[in-house]
Amino acid sequence: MVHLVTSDNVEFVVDKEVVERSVLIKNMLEDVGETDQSIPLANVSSAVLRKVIEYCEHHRGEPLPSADADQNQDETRKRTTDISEWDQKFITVDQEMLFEIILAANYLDIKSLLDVGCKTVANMIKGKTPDEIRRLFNIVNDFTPEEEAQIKKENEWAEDR
Amino acid sequence: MVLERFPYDVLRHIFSFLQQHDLDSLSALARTSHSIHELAIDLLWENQRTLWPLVLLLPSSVIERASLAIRKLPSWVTFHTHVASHCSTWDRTLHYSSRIRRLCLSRTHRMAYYKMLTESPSPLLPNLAHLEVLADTESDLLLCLQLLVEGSQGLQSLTVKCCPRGIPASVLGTALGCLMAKCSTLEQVHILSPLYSTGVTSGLHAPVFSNGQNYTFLKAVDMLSEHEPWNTHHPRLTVSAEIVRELGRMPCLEDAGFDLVLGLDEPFETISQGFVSDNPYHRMFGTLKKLRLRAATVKHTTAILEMIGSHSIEDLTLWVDRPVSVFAFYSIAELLSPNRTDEDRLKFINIKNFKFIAEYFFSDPFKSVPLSQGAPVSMISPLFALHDLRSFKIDVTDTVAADRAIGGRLPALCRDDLETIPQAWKDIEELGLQWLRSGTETDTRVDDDGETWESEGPTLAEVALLASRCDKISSLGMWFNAQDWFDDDPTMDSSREGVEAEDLGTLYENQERRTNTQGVLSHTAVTSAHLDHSNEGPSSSTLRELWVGLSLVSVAASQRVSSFAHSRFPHVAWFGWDYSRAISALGGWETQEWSLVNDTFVTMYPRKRLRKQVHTSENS
Repeated sequence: MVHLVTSDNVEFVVDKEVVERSVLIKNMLEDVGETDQSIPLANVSSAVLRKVIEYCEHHRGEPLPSADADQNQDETRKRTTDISEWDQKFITVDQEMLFEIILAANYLDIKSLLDVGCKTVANMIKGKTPDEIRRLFNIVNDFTPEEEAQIKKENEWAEDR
Repeated sequence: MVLERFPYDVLRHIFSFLQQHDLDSLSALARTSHSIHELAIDLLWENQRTLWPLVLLLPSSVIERASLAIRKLPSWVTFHTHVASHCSTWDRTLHYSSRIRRLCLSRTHRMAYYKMLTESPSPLLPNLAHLEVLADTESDLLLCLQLLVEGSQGLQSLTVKCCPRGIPASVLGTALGCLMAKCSTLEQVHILSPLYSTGVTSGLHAPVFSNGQNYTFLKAVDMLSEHEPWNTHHPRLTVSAEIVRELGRMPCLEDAGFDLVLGLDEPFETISQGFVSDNPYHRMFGTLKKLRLRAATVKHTTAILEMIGSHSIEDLTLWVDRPVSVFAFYSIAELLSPNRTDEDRLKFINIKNFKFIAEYFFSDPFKSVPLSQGAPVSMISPLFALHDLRSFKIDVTDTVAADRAIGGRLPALCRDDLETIPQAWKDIEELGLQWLRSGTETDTRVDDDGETWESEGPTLAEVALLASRCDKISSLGMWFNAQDWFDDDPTMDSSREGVEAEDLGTLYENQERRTNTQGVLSHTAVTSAHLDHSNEGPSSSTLRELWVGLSLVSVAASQRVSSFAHSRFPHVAWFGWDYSRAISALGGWETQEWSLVNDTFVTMYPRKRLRKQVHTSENS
């Protein structure tokens, strides 16, 4: 078992097989060896880690992507924004939590979870106008109308691709 | 946390999911705020299939076109070069063109693009890393490469789709030579034949890769990847022994694919001359990891394999044009198999993926049979020593049809192999042996106790057992004997005619013989007796694809086969078989066998996919 301590000082005891879906923790454990000491995760809160562990538990035993496979599957991964049914349900959370999960997956180096989170955000963006995207993510428009019109004109070719 | 504050890599990862089909969303993102604009624009322009968006950015005083509609390419373009020389004209074009990293350029408006590339005051594509061009003529290819690559010193990969009849190899060689001199970072060269050309064999000869010192960084040279084994209309791009020699000299070459055809004056033996054997990097193909080799004979194939100096081969595809005897395949398998007494033969020990393509296999009754502990072995048995194997596929044509079933003295695959495979290849994920029907219906072999048995190939239950024993298997292709499924459907046989009384007697006798526990039975026969026709038993949770070979059964029997297969392989997304090859093997659509097979697989095969393939076959 592995002891993890979150940014809000909550300790989690997790099965090694589960937690090793994180490349960061897997490498740490390989470097340090067997230890009872807790691993501090300063960038992850307890609420987020709970979700991350839930994901890793569900995908326990599935093959981890290798470095080679990464390169080969990169193009395939980008072609689809499909998300499996379970993952879809898992990632149906509020935007704040979604972003936190993405950042945690990036920090902990859990490629498949990062993909699920990023695909979800990409799906939220699909088909929206700049205004709708701004409203969705609270983005402040710092373009003048002329600038925006010029960008639109210069990239109009992309609209039917 | 807001989207804009995400780390650059994460934001890029999110946006990359929009690159393939949602460029309009990237365009919208680029207009949301300054902080997101740059990244969205980078990704929007990164991959281009045309330079037309750049043409659109030039002022109308520079270009004239038949149609001003942005979304429709005009039929003609005129470029006014006397106006185009002003630097300010190019500001917007260069602002975007520097972001293009991958370009797949078709024939459309090629001349307008050439003019634009020529007139640009500074290199138009300074960050181009991957270039794919379709060239019709030699001048087109040379011009295209010269202009597109000018200033693109970071080019990493080049794919040339050309018409081999129209471009002499020397021109291609000159073009590549110029390119190599300019782009020291070039790592990959792919030379592909056109898909729709009706040309026949066309050869590449020296000096395509004649100056070895230029190819210092070249890691991949592929001249075979788009060749389809069974498309006889596909033009072949062949290479001479001299080119193989030049490929072998390249100091970093990791991935090579070529079709070797020797000229009349090319002695094969000279290929390996001039290589220093004591320095591993100076050995022929000393750094090779992946090889796709097509050759006319097994002799040439084995000779190339013996020359290879690399001990790092992980991915091997061997393609022999002619029919191959099971003994010849056995000799290749022996060559690949590690032999501990000969260190040099350990060089293939790291093979993870192995594919063998041939016209068909045949038996050779005059060769002596290899034995293991006094019993004949199968032709694939030496490969069981390759313990890292993850994918093993054999792709042959009508081995099953036209009485070409292999068997007797040296079987292609025997029942004992099904027991050995899970133990020998613990990491096996893909096994494609569906066209490898081992043995005739009366394939005889001798078991350990000296008894002679008739082997009829694996049953579906035995295939299920195999799948359950291979922990990582995701795709399994295996011919199986479905004749068993007639047992409780005695009024039908494979030709849909009533079975005569004496035939029925023989059928039951054969069945009883296989399941007779009083006699001396092999382990597999006992297993088969317990497993046949039961929907409960070993199954596989990892299997996603099941490819099956041909076996004629009645419609009623096929429904039971289907039910069995679905219960044993609950996660299989499809049952596959090669529709067009089956038609060819059976002699056409109208034969009685064809309609029976068709009925069989309609029940086994997902209808959606079946319809699609029928449609394709009808069109062709």
